Amino acid sequence: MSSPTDKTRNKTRKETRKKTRQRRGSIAPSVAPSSEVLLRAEDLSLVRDGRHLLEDVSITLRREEIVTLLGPNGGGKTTLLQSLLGLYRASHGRVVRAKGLRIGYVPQRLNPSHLMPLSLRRFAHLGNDASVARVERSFSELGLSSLAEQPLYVLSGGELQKAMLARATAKKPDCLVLDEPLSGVDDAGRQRLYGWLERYSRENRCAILMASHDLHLVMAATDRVLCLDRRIRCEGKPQNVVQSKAFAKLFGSNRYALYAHRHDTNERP
Amino acid sequence: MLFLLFDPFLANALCAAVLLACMSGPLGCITVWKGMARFGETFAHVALFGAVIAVLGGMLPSFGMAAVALVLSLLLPLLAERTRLPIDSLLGILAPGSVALALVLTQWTGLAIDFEALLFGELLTTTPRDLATIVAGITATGVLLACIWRAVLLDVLSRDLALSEGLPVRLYDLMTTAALGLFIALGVRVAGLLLINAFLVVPASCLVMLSRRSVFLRNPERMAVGAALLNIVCVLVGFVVALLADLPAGASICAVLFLVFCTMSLCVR
Repeated sequence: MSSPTDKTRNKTRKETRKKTRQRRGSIAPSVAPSSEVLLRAEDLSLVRDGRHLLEDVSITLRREEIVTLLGPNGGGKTTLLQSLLGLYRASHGRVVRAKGLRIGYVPQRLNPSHLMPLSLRRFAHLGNDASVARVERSFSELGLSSLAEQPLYVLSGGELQKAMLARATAKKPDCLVLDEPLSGVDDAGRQRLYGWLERYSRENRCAILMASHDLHLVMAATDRVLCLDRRIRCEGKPQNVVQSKAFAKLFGSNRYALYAHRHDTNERP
Repeated sequence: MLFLLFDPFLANALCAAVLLACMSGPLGCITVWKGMARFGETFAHVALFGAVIAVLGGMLPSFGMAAVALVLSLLLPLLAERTRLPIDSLLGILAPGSVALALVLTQWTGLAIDFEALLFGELLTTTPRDLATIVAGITATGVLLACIWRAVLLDVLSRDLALSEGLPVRLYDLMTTAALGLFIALGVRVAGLLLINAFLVVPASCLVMLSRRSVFLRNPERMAVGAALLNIVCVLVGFVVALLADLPAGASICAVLFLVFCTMSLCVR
């Protein structure tokens, strides 16, 4: 947990940076600096069709870290994730990925065409060399086993989310990049899915970077929250961030209920 | 009457038709999955322009059509990227534009062009040399398709996923349209524009319908093989009908394909 002085220092530093528009390294991480950096964006700016989608965004993801990206609609969460994945070329700044980094990406939505009948099992194996046993295991853990032979286009939104998760984890990624992984998943399913993600992350030393527009859905095991509204507005441990002024400005001050899905037994150290 | 099938003269024609029918299976499936079914149709229109240009330049019309097919196939992805318009809009713009140019040019120069031969081809005049060209072309197209097949499946499903995994999707787009252009360019002299079109779109669409009914066909590869087989059956039936009733072969095959589709759309739900 960072001390209040730390926070003020961070804030002042950020404001100076904003004023002088200095292009420097990333914001100080809250995890021990010795752990390996997997993914880093440095002063990333992105302009598309004349609209500033990202401005001077810096973000670092380290091994075994769980980071949640919070922000309003249109705040640039998906754009930032996709820039980190290399889908967009930044107008300014750069993205650095660790050598040989394997990323499992779960986009916000999948709209499988009903013209191409691809079974869930085929999908999970498509484009990777995952073993049958590994895929079967994630199918059974995610409750997809009975759907394995179904074509993707008959699956519901929530089932597709899990299907993409099964495929993303099949290639043993170093980090998972999840864009609103809970959209379309029912309440009970959300709890289970978060539990599964937490366990998966711990057992496989896999970092998670996920975006969410709803602060009620921040995972209990999150190490760090970043609030993104074109710029990084606030950053830090979840309980500290909720109390910051920037957070109140972004989300309204009356929304402090953070952990809708607290797993007391699964708290990470 | 059927002994005519063993006539070396007709054997060339039959071989050419079967080879083209075969390759149309997988190629047609990709065309339908990617929503490019109008590619062939547009090409039919643009090819008229190519034929007119070739005749004006003192060359064979089929040469001009083939050249235009290749140029169009390479230009289309670039045009799509530049204008950021969907492919079907671009096809809808290119088709009437090129027909208009072709008509203006023919009127202006007072050319006489056998449009029927361009539309239906001259299957029964297939020479060993035509056949050799087709064999070479089909092999090239097949190799090209085999290289990009899995990537195209993933791309059809989700471009974001394909991009996030570092697949060069633009190159694959180019390779897909190049394979299509090459195929049309090669087939157009013997099979004609209408038959090539029907080869690509009709069986693939029939297989889409069938795959909803049959669990066995719910698999992209089986669909492609199924489309090829359906094509071959239609070629054989159309050929026999043409011989027995002394009809033009290309048009007969085209009509058989159409009847198969009509029957299927009535019977398969």
